[in-house]
Amino acid sequence: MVNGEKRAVVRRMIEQSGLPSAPLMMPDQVLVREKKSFRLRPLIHWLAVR
Amino acid sequence: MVFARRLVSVLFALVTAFAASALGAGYFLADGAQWLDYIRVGLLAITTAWLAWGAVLGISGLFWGRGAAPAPRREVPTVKTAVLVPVYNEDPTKTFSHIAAMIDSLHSAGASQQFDFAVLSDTNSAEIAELEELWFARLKQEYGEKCQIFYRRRVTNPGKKAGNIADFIKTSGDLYEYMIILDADSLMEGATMIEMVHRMEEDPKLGLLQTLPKVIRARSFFGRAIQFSASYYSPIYSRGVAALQGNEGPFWGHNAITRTRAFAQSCGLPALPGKPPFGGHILSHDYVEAALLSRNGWTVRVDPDLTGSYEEGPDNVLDYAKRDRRWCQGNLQHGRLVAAPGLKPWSRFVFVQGIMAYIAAPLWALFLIAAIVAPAMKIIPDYFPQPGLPVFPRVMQENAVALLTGVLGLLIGPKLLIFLDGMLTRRNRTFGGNIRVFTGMVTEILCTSVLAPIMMLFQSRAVLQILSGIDGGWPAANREADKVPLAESWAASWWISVVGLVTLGAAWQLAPDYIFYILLIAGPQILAPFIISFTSHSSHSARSGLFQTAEEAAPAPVMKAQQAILARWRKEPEIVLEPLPASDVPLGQIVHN
Repeated sequence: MVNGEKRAVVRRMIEQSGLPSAPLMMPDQVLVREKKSFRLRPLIHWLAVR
Repeated sequence: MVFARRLVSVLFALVTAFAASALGAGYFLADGAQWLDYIRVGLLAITTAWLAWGAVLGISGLFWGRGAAPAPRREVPTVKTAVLVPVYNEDPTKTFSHIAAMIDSLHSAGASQQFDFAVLSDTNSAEIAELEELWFARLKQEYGEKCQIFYRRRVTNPGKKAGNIADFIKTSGDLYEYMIILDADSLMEGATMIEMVHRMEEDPKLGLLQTLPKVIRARSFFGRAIQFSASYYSPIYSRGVAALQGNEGPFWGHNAITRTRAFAQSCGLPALPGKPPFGGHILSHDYVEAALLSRNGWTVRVDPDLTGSYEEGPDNVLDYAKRDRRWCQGNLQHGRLVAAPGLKPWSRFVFVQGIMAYIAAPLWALFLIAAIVAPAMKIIPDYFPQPGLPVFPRVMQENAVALLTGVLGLLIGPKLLIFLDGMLTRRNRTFGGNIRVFTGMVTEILCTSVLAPIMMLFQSRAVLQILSGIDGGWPAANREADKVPLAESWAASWWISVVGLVTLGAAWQLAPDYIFYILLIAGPQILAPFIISFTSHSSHSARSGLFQTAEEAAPAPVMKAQQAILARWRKEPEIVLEPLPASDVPLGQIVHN
């Protein structure tokens, strides 16, 4: 078998060996806490108004 | 019960740290207190706590999980398992010989039809990718009848290894109840894989089961010392880890089985906000995946009694340091995840342990600097606080001796206990007998004592680089590394020699009383290029029986099979392929439909 033919056979084998299609969902996980807003802000606002 | 064991272990580390601090404070402050002494006491407390934690794992392992392992079950599993082999610029001949040996092993057990192998390539070298395709064709031609084998290559590799596994799940995960995750150098007995499936089947809450892979095929002096250490001590230390694991055991990234649905539901890893080294893709994904499985209520467990699981390790200090650099970045990145919502407290503690494993090196280095500088900062004591006879400060020499003995005890004590246990249980026989094990242990302790100051500097540099924002990237593992020539060793470690010389010079000037102790640390650093090169040479120890392991004395059938296949393939590298029947439908599609 010459090189070109060999490469074609290999390519074909690779194509025929692709992963089977049976997808499963893999949702991204929450790893970082959401930054909480400054809790005293309403109080400061209230004081500022007064 | 697990809580009690954890509490006792943590208390042991804290009490030891407190005792070391008290002894250190007595010695450091005897001739007058200064601010640097308090820093020394603080550093001593943290580093001793870390040493004590290592010791407690070894000691726990001597008392826990000692029973004989149950015989592996032979029944062929009824469910399908995918065996994932992620590769990244590896030598395909070698990697595929591992796969071929595992297929043979499963086939002999009559179970090869229940296990599908998937080579998940992230290779970005065109040359290696071409070789991968050629050798895959040969693997498929020779072993494709016994077992389904798939090959997929990603041209880009987002998420690195974790992204590679996730890509498989998103493409094919629904077909498989379980996935055995391997590395390119992993090797497992078919019987072990079958037993792992049975253990998953009998515990529906078990999300991931980790084995303890033994290091094999080391050739150099350094590699064989590490291999001996991993083979002789690690089973006991991993029993210690298992004693404290509860439902939050470890995942070491490979040689483990996981429940596909649990993994898919729990382990989707987003990129962290920001740039590497702290942002971007999670490098040490395994610890995070274990923590996330536990967060979702799944059990993660290491079973140290599972044998027949192997991996290879770095064969020289430079490759070890390169791998360590990657792990260091991954572990420090976990600093951002310690406070992740919903994690179990033990998972958070495991992250802290991983960070400590690398932060300990610069802390020891700081302690050393403080020890050299402190004597020069001492104020001359007032010998006549009152008129009359002089009052001399008491030098608490006994504190220093007790401290040194204690630290050495924490480092060497567990190893000695493991040796004594090996004598009593006759485990030493599998390693060539008591004398051979004792010689191996003493040589290994000497070897690690000489290498520890060098590794301290490699790790300290890694931590400083990462804290400065330098990303180490994702270098391919060099599993077939040859010996390191002196020129290469010099280029990589001349700076360690310079640091060693500066340390010795500083000690000569500032702390001449401690010059002998400093020499024990600075000496190996000054000689680092020679030590690195010398320890990388192929060892005569294999012939003399030094560092002999149970796996060398009696190689497992899968190890012998892999060596035979690799030898045959390397002898006959020309691939003779048979023409394929014409078909336009990929095999994967046929299987699925």
